Amino acid sequence: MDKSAPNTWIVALLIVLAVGASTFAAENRWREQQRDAQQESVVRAVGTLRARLEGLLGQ
Amino acid sequence: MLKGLATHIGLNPDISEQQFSRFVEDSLPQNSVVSIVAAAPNLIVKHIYPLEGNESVLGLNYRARNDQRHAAMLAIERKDVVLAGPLPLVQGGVGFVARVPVFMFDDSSQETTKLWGLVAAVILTDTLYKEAGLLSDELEMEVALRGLDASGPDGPIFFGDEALFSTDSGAVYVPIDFARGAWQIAAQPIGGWGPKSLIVIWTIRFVGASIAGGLLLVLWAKRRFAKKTEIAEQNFKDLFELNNDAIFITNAESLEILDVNQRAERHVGYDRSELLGRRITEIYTRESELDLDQVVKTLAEQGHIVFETLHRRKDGELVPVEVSSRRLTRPSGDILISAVRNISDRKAVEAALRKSRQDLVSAIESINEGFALWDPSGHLQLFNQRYFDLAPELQDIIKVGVSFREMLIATYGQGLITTDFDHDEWIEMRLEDHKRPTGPYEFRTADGRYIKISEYLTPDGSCVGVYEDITDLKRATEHVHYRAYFDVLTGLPNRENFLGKLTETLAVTKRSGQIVGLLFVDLDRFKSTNDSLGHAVGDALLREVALRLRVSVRETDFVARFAGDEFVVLLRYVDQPINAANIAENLLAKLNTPYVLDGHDVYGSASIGIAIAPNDTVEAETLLKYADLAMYQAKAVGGNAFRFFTANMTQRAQRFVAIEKDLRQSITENQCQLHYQPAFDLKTNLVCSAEALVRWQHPELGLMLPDEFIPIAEETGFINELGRWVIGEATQQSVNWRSVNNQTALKIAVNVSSRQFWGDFDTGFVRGLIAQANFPANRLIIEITESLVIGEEHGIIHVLEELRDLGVEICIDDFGTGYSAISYLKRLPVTMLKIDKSFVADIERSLDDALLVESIVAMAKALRVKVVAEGIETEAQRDMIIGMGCDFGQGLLFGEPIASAEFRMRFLEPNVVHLHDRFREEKS
Repeated sequence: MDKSAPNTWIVALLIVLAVGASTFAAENRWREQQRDAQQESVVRAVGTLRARLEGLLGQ
Repeated sequence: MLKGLATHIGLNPDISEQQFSRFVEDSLPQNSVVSIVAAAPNLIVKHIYPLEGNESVLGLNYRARNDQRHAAMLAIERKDVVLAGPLPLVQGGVGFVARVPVFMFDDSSQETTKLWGLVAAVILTDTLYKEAGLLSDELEMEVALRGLDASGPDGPIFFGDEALFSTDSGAVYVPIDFARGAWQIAAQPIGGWGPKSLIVIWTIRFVGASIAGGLLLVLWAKRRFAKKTEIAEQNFKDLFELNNDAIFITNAESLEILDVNQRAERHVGYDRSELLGRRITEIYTRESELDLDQVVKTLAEQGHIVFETLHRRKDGELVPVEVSSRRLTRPSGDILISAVRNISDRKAVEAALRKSRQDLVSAIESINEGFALWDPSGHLQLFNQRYFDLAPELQDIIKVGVSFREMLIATYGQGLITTDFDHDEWIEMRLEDHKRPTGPYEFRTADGRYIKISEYLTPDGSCVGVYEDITDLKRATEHVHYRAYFDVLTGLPNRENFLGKLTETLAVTKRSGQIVGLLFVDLDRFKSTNDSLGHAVGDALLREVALRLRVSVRETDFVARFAGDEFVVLLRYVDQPINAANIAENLLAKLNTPYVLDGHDVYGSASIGIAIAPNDTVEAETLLKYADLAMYQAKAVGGNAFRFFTANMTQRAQRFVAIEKDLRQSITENQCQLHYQPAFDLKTNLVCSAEALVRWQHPELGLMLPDEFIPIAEETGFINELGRWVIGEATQQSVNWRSVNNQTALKIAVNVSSRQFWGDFDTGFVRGLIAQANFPANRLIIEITESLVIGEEHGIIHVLEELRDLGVEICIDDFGTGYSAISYLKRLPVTMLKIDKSFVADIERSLDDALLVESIVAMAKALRVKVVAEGIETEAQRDMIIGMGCDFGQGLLFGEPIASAEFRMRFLEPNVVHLHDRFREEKS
């Protein structure tokens, strides 16, 4: 029996976990960046809309 | 604008419709969203701008409308602008309505004191939303508004999805404040918060998975590589230790041994510890005569070397080894890996093989045939000297390793073989034979030798060739064949050959009807020539005749020597039988031309019989027999003639055959008897001789005269036996007569046929017969005809001279009917002439005949030759003959041929008086 087999499996598991965690973190970070960008875009658009409505109704 | 209108109406309560419209038109900004402006004094709509389309609004009473009364009252109560809506409009549509109360202005108090009514401005919802951008397609978010009637964040939702205002929507809330009211706006991205595309997410996940997979793959590969490396190391270790070869690993420069396997330890008898660190050169020996410097140099230059040498073991034993050494580069420095194999067994096998090969070479060198061994690829591996000697012209080509094709090309190219095939055809054919030999092949070399090639395939595909010079055998075979089918003397085809050709030709004739002529040529009197001039001349004559025949016929004709002096000519293409006659005539002329043989002038002639196929027959033997019969007919007329076969010849032939058969028995059956005709001495009137004439008493045909059966006896050769019998019988009879009557002077005359001279008739023959009968030679008369000696006188003269020397009388019978040349008489050993009876018969009536006979007698006398007149029948004839000086007479006047007993009584009894005696007595 290959004596190095258990170590190999542990290394393989650690690799999977590490790469999986890194991937998950990267995905979340990307999602947050997307949301922040959306919010900023929505706030900017709503501000513009508000200004237009206030201007129109002020006539 | 609305407040300005309210102020204007407060100052001008009685504003007309026109003034109202003008004021509104002037007051509204060009891009205003206000669609309708109305004025309602006392809360009833009186003025409206624009009027068109809004007529229905005129007269609207706010107080009477529940949906608008509250907002109107709230505006009046607040004395400020109140925004209501969105709400349905009376004239149709939905819109926001801004109302402002109008109070009339009191100049005195300078205050607004009394409510005039309301002014209202309508903003259509669609217009407002569109202008604000809420309906734009470019708005990338969902929007909702609440605060109906400007009631603020707590008011009802009037635009958009109310879900945006739910607590978990996550929407952005922003207040919209305006005079006396507020709305709240809620917004979120279309489709909610979060990424719109999953590609990036899945890309990130894929990259993550790929990285993980790649790392796992690397891990797996590394593990596998490690495992393989471990196996390889183990394998190498096993290979190294378990190898049958002794392996030495040495430093390439210092030649120090770095490692050895177990086999190496056993090989040299040292332990590993004893070997490591020693120089490998220490196990080499001087006996090996190995140039180690050269080995090291070769390894440095080429990196590899294989050599054989001797190793000395620890115990001193020398071991033959084969060393395969290779130089390899290592980080720590170059090394040499040397595999050493004990080749003691191989050396022993090689020695045995060398001996075996030497034995084989000795064996193949000892055989008389050429031997060559070609490997399966067709290259020469082994050959013996005999093979080399068979083609010395190829000595530069014949060597081990030369291909069979090269040999063939050289053989053909140097013209060493004779073949009808061209270069490529012959080579391809021989190559095919070489690959799949089917049997011995024979080739004829350019110098006339015959080589027999026998090739055999060995189990491994090699080809063994045995090359035998069969020239002598071939020539012997050809010679035997030649002897079997050709006549050695003349070079002509022989009887067997001719019969085959004749049969073959007649087979064609049967089908085609082509006329074929067969000429049967028999030389006249050949035996005489042979006997008189010797066999050498006889053979030369036959050769000359053969040559003349051959050059005298056409190329398509076939000449053969049939037997002895018999030749046959097959005329294979004859248009008419007369052509055969022309050819025969030409042949006779050619053959009749004198020959000069061995210094002798020889005169020859021939008799030719002609048979024609298919006219006569198409059977070979029959045709041959017919030609033979015709030849005998030609021969019967004296030779030097030709005769066609005719039908009656067949009848004659049948009779001939019958007589021939009986004739052979005639002597043994005592059917032959001799009659004797006397001849008288004309001077003494005494019987001087008796001519023996043979008679044949045929048991069925009766008495047969010589004219009838002698020719047959001559043709069949029986004449020799018959002639022997005649002479023997006649001489014996004469002896008998003498013993009885003491007739010592009576001579016996016998006729000798020319054929007898061709046979065994010679001096010895005659001497033997007369000795047997105890008969004196001087009482024997040999009668021959003139034709016998014509042309062949030399041989016959020789015999005749010998007979004459014995004392035998030589008499020419029927003299005067032939050539009767005086020169013959002079040369011939003739002692007697017998004048033909035809001259004697007319001697009384013909002066010419009388003169002729007289001349013959005179001539004979001059030559001292006795003369016998034959055919004397009358006394007058006898007298004239006597008068001419003739010595002897014979004829009916003296006596006809009679049997011996009668002859004895009539002519030999002492008291007999002969007729002519009486006549002479009477005359005297």
